[in-house]
Amino acid sequence: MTERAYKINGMTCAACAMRVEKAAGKVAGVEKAAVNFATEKLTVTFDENTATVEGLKAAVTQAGYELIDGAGAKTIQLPISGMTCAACANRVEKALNKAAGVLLASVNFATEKATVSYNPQIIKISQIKDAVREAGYTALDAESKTAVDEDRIRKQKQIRTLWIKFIISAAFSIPLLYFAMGPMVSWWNVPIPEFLTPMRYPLNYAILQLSLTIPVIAVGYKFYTVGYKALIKRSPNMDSLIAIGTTAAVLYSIYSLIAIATGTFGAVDNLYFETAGVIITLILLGKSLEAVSKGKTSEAIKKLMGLAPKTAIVIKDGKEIEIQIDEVETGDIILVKPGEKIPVDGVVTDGFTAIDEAMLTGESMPVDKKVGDKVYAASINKNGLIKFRATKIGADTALAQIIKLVEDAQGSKAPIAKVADIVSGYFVPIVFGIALVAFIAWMIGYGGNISEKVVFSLTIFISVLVIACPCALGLATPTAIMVGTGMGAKNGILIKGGEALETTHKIKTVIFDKTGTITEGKPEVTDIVCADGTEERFLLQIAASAEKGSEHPLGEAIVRAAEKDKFEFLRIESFEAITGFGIAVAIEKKEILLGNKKLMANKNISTEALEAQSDILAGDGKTPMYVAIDGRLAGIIAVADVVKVSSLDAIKTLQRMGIEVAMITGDNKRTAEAIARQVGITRVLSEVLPNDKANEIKKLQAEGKKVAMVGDGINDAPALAQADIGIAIGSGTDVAIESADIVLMKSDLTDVPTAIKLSKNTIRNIKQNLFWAFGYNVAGIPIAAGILYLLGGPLLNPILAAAAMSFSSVSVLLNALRLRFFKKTVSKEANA
Amino acid sequence: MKKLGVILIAAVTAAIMLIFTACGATDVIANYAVGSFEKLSDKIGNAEYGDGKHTLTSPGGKEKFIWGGQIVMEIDLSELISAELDVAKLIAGGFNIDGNTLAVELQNAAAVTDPDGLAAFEKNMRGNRKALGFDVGMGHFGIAFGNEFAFEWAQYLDANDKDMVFLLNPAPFIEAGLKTDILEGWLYAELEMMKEKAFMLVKAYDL
Repeated sequence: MTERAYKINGMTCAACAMRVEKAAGKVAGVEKAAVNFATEKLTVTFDENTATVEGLKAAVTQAGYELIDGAGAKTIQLPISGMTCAACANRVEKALNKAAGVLLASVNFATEKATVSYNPQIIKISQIKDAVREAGYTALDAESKTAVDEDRIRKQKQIRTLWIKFIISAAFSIPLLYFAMGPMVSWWNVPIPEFLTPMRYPLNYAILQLSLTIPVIAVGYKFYTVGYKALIKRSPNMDSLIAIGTTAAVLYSIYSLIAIATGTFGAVDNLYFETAGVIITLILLGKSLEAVSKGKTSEAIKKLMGLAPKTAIVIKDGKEIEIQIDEVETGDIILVKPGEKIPVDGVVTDGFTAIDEAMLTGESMPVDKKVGDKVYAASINKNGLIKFRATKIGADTALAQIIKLVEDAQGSKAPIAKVADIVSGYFVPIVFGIALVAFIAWMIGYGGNISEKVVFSLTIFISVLVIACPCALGLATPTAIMVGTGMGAKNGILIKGGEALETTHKIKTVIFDKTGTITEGKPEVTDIVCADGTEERFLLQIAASAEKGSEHPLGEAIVRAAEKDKFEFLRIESFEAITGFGIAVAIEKKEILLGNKKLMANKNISTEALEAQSDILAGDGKTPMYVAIDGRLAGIIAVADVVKVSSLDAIKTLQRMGIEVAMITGDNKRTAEAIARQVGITRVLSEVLPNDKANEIKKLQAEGKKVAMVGDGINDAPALAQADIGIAIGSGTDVAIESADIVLMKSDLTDVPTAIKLSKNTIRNIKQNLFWAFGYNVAGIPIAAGILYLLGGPLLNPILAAAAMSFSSVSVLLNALRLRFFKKTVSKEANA
Repeated sequence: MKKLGVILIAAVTAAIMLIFTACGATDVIANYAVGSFEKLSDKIGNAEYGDGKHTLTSPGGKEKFIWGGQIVMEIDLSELISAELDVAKLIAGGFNIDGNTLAVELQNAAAVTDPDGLAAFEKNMRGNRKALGFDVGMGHFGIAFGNEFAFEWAQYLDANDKDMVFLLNPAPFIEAGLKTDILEGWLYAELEMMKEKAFMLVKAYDL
């Protein structure tokens, strides 16, 4: 099944969207069709063998609309500046999606980036930028290495500017609050200069407040320029709420000031300058804290980006030349001294060392590297001097791929985010409505003279507008996803997107591939059983000498075992491979037979003496290989694919988490069950052909379970794609990694429960964030609208409303940042 | 630069406005108080001038507001004496009483004389600006004599039912034997004075 998104032209209402959805859904091979009317996008899940784009086009055309094919489409990421809330992100997204030639645009408020798929034949990048500008925002240059630095500098500058603005604003707001509220506090005899007392010099008092408010408004001028522009374009945002609320406060206060100047001294009680000033100051404080916290949420990716060294020492004509990293070419021989970082990916050509690859795998233990081993950019050469040949440079290095993967994931939206996006899109206009209704209702219902009515109703109006800013709502999901995926990357778990992160927490069944996943994937000698009169060392030496040069995995295992013990290999005089049985070799005039029971039987060699042991070994999932010397049984060498150290821990931990664990393999039932027993798996799917692995997943999914598949090989790719979550082992094939939703950089299976736990924690965090964000608004709006007052309680002061609103964003961000303390856990029982 | 310009302009504007507050033109209380007092004086119509002093007597004839060489509030205490006030105790307490008349004088007043009553009032108010204020709750201009004694008049006589008001701090009177429950002619009530509530002896006239 393939999922694609197409732009639909000609829709004018939700009914059109329904018609397109139906038309596309009826095309043969289409499993699911969904139309988003707001973005004018059709998302179709279809079988490419049955359904075609042409067929879809025809069906949509017949329904009276136009489907724009995205073949040859390009995707870019543009940093967007000027967004202040989720409503802004929605607005940019809408503007981009409406632009002709844009196939799909997604804007992430937390990363401040727009990901745009577009048809370069219809629209140019400059036109995409124009669309953003027309919406009232600025699209910066597309991401590049230098753009990343510029982006970092820009964000640092933005944080500094916000702090300066806050400090200036606070410098004026604090005295403003002092002069405005001081005389009202009965228990505090506030020292105020005589010529500024409200009872004796009300006009001076009002002018002083206006004087202190003007700089605050000047500092916060962006709220007004952005807010009113958005309002004029009929897509109000958070700035619009602040702008209208504070403008109402300031205009009414200026009106009161004029009233004072013309003799209505009672208007001195109707000054609201401090409300406007303090609201702007508190929101600037909130924005400053938000900017700092937002920076921290993407710290993981920044750390990754900062890992790559800037220069490399290249050997050219026997000379060491230090060049910029961008100048390194594939094939260059690069010298790396102890303590230095590996500049690009490559293969060791000279030397031996230990390399810290924690940046890639999260594993702190250095890995030994010798000639022929791969080295990766940004890993640290610990102790030896090595030379290596560059094989991958620039965007092709493993580090660059990881950065891209994490960036894409952080920029993606989880399905849960869509709810928040939809809500925040409608939120601001609804809040305007509520504020207006509350204002009118209190103007009618509040007792007192007209002046008292206006003051009371205006307080309500401002409080509702200010408390309801939906910035916390917009930050709730993306910040948690950013921190969650960042923490995953830090632990060597690459999660490919928000959707994968969200689905992972629902996993009820995890299916592990056996070979290379639960097991090491490399058979090893596990047992040596000698017949009477044969020495173990001699048996292994003879067998290893016989298998030297063999390409059979079992033979290789015997050779490796001998090499490990530094055995001397004996010269082979003749060699014969007997397909399906084993080998016959002559060494030092001795006839050696090495193979299965059938080989021994064919050569009339009795295996009776060791048959019982052979059966036990086979029962444990091992492959017993008989060795005969000069027509007499000399012993058995058992070879098996051993279980990884981490497998038992991982499986026990998953089971403790209440997750069903199964194993799938093409191996025979006996071997499969033996391995399963070792790791505590009871559900075993053995003798499954590669093509059927995906079908087995489907069967489990048909039971209503969310299934994760963990695998490493090409044969696992269909199953990884079929599973709700495909988890590929980093040491596996590129195909498996491509097909997976999560990539484990280490071959450590304990990262599987860690990934599920991280997902659970992240989703819980998102839910908490949404609760806080919604909670503030749901509880705050009625209180601000005067419900408590109606029931005899207090009236919410607009200043407290602004403080609550700022605190909601900050609390959501702080909550998301808690994920930074995420720690992986492994079953204690398993460890014991 | 653009942002800096906006902030600079705002700062300069704020500074100009602050300087402006130091200018007398913004003293709206003093400016409006003179006109308002003139209306009060005209409405009562009994203002007198003699010995460099102007006197405005309340419609009941028992209270006077005097301005000129000094700024004084004169109160006939007979109604309070009827409510068991011991004048001797008041005198012992340092009050200036001649017969049954209490004279409450603005302390350290920079009093100025002028045959023109209104000009004299304006000069005395501006010269003793600290004493002049406005009670937002009552809509009254007021002259605070200190020790919570005050003379107030309504800014808008037509819209207010308390146009001329004499306020006494009840504490020394109660200490001198005044029984507020049998007091007639004066009201003993809790009023909101500036930012806090306090019990006062009040005599108000609706003109």
